[in-house]
Amino acid sequence: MRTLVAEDGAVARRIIESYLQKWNVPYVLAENGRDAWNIIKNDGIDIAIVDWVMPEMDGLDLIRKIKGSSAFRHIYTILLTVQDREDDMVLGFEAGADDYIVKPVNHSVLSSRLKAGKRITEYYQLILRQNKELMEKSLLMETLVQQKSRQLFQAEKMSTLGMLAAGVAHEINNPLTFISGNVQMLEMFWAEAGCAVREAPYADSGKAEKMKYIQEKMPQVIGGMQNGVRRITKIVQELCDFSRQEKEKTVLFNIGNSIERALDLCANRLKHHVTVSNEMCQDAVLFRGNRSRIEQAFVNLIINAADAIEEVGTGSLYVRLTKEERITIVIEDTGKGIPQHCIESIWEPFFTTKPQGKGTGLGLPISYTIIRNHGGSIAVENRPGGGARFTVSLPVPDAPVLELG
Amino acid sequence: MKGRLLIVDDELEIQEMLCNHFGFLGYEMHRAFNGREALEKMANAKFDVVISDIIMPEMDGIDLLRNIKQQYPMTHVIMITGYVKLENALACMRHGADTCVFKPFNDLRELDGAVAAALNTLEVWHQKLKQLHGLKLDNAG
Repeated sequence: MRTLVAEDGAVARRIIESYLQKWNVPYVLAENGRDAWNIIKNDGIDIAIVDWVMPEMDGLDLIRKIKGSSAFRHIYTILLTVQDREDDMVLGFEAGADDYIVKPVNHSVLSSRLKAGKRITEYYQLILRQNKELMEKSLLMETLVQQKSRQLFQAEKMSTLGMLAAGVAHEINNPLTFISGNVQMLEMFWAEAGCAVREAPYADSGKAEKMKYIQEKMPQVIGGMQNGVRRITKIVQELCDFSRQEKEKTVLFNIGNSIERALDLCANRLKHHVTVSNEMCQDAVLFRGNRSRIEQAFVNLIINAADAIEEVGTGSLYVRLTKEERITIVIEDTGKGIPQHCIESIWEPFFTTKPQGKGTGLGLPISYTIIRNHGGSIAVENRPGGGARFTVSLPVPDAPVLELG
Repeated sequence: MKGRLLIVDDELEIQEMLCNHFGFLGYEMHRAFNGREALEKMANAKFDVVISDIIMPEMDGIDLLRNIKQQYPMTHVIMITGYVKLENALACMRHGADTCVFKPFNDLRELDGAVAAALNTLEVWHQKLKQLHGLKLDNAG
């Protein structure tokens, strides 16, 4: 406890000093209020023994200054006074003094008052420390809560979108069925009727010209419709995949094999412009879940990487599998990366930066949903050197050994 | 006439599309909007193949399939569905459907093939039974 003694009387100052020396209390001396204030400002003081009557700035003013400043009001102040009258005591306490000692200073009184001051100061400092810790903790909790509620919101949104997607997919599928069927029939009918249309004798040459045109263009017309049907079919299928939440049979499987299978499935999309390298955990990493769904999640991530690389020409894809407290799969590419303002949106259904008709914007949301349904998470970031890094984290299955035999 | 087909689907456009398609291929076409209506039609006339949707009002396709297999074991049933779910496919298989074709039929030849195969099987049985008993099986059901 660093103690300041502010006393203009040399004798009284000397007496107090001798006591403090005897008790091994570190101290600083000041001869008037202004010096004392300067010391307080520059020197870490815990307890101040302040004489009432002093030149330059008296004790009451000094105490008011101390207690009025947020940086120093923790200093425990003891007012020294000869005026042992009730009114003066009140005045002293109202100025902010924590205690008072009547002069001449008695050895044991000073000792016990200092001890009391030390005790209170220590409590005060403890409270301050705990308050600070509490503040830090509450700040941390607040951040956590925000993070969790964002995740919850995202999960909620995905689940709502999932239900919506299933409904939309089914509603579209029925009309798609009869459009698709009718187009196929049109093609079949035209195969029968097309020749007759051209070969029929037309009296009017304009009419014959028109019929010839129709005969030429009809395959293109039908092809266009079929193309549209195919695209809608793909979207509907992906919507169904995205919304699929039914509990499917889960098995224990080697996730390294799944990644390799996913890479095999994507081989055609990778072989021309992507160099693939991987780093797999030495031991077999087992995971419990729906094997084909997990493979689908990897396929979508790999295809996404392949497309990102295609936009910059050629590049490399790097896949790493590790197992610690969780199973971690990192999929990195040297493609064009994700614009920072899009990084939050990439999990949203139908969000795509690919050219019209190329991507449905459902690949990544499907991966996200699959991984989340398996108790995992996917994080995305841009690599420092360009390209993107997807990190999939999955829980380690419980007691896998039981079912291995 | 290649065979009598009954299309069961609550979507009129799909009924018409399939009727036009198989009609063009030379089949005699009939239609119903749900399982109940299909069974009513089947009570009055014999059908070789029933092509039925699964999710329909009044009586769904699985119920219809069960009923047909009980009452008209010689009639072949091909299920069509937009709900591509494992449980749907399993239910079709367990209750004795020939096959299950998923909508949208981007290749109608899958359905054509299933119908042709069903009629082929029926034809083989007819031949066998005729050989054995000299029976005429027009109304054997």
